[in-house]
Amino acid sequence: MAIVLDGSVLGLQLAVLGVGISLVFGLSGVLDLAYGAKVVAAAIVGSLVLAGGGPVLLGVAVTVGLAVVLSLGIDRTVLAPVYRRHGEARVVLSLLVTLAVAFVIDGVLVSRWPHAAFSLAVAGPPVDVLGVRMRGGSLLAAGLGLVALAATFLLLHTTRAGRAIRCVIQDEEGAQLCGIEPARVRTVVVVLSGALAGVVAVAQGLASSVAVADGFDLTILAVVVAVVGGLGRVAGAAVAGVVLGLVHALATATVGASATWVVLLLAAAVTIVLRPEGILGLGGRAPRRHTARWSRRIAGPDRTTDDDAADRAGEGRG
Amino acid sequence: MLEVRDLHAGYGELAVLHGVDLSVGVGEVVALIGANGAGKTTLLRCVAGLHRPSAGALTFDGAPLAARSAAAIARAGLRLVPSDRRLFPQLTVRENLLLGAHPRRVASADLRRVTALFPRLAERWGQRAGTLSGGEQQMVAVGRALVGRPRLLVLDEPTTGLAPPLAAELYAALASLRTETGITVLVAEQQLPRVLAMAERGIVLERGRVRHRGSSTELADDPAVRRAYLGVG
Ligand SMILES: Nc1ncnc2c1ncn2[C@@H]1O[C@H](COP(=O)(O)OP(=O)(O)OP(=O)(O)O)[C@@H](O)[C@H]1O
Ligand SMILES: [Mg+2]
Repeated sequence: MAIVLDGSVLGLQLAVLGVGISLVFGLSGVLDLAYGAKVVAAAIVGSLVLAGGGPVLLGVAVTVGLAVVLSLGIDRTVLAPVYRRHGEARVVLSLLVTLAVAFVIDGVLVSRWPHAAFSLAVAGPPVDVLGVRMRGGSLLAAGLGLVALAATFLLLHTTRAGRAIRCVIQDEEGAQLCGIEPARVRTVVVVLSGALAGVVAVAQGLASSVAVADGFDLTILAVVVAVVGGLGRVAGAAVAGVVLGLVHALATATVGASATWVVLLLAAAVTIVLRPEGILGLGGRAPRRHTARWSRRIAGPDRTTDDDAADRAGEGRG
Repeated sequence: MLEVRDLHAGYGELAVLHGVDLSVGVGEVVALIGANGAGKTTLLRCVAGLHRPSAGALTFDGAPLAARSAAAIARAGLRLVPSDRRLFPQLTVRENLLLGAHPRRVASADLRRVTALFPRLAERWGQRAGTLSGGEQQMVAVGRALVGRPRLLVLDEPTTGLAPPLAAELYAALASLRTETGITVLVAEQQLPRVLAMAERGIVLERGRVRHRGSSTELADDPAVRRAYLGVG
């Protein structure tokens, strides 16, 4: 039981991570290898606020806010040339650019605040859950993850903005034909993904702590979860996160922490072999390979995106 | 309503359109005729803002389209139904239709008009669009454009891949739409008799240039057009 509960707490955080990275990939074909670095950067700045004597809520607000600002800032600057590519070229370039961003963020953090760590201590005795004694921080972290996931799903499935997001994910050109601006939808998604990175930082701070060196581990976990969920599939990523959290807890308890990564990656590999479209399977659609899906979705040298429209407007003036 | 002036477009090195002129007046139905590879789709994609012309001018209601995004053009009332339909495969028929008027809410009267036009869509209301037959998908695509209350409906080979009875059904629906609403239509087509029965005028595109233009009866009687597109003459 303790394993299940521990696994669920971790799993919910993995789910948030996976959803955060998967949303952006699903929408634009950018696989964000700086995702973990953003989590850590937001957490470390939050820890500075706390260390400076700031109230906890301010620390939390700064953490989430910074994650959003970082997300938007990176999207608008270094990713701009990436969005001008299409299809596979965009995916590959996004890997290189976001990896570079991750190294830069990591380098700054390690050189400026090598020993900083973000942790939000929760006072009070452990709480009894189904006969297992859980720390208050872990429970809060799990609750936060759950709320973030629920909010994301409500946004996607009950609001007009959410419907626009799902449309652009399914067929960007079809969305344009309906009058939906992919650029505007992208802004919403980048903000959402940044907020989810902030939530991971806060939840991790509640459950244990975020250290300067955690960025790459978080990114790898996010990518594994997203891949197991079926890249770009939000519901799949959420389920994959929880499942891998349970596998992680089980592996730690049985084979020990050192082999956990191997077990996790093995589990991921098995899922991908058995269900190439992701853990939730085909969802009633005819089988299509991801590559085909991607090349169709972000395809074509003749695709005119809003960036192109902006370029055109710029040329008109120049 | 739509003016295309000296339009040039292509793909990288490949030039496809070599100075096309075309205009569509309010309430007209204009047929765009041409063999495979003539450049019909390229022309329509330029009009809809999905492809960037290399030269020439496009105006809709007197306003230039060049600086507008494809989505802005759609919201302005110029709706393209592409030959590959571009539905949202995982959404139901109903959800696809509800998206047509973004960011507005679709009026229920508009939905009723679509089901009156295409009764078989009512039977498929809750089915995912990706599982529909080609003809049904085409009906959803046309319906999705119609709920956006287009002032100019642009159709790219609406009967591609449709069995003759379905193609006839689709054209019958378009004809009744036309008599009811007087909607302006620009339609690319290779099925000459069918499209000329509905259109007032036609333009024949050959390898990126306008080869013939005239009223539907003139085109239907033109020996060269008959030879090339009706297989007779
Ligand atoms: N994305 C593309 N990249 C490169 N060349 C293209 C592309 N799309 C079309 N072409 C070329 O442009 C020319 C015109 O194509 P277009 O699709 O406009 O013709 P069409 O009249 O619509 O033909 P069809 O009746 O077969 O649909 C063709 O020679 C085609 O090979
Ligand atoms: Mg075509």
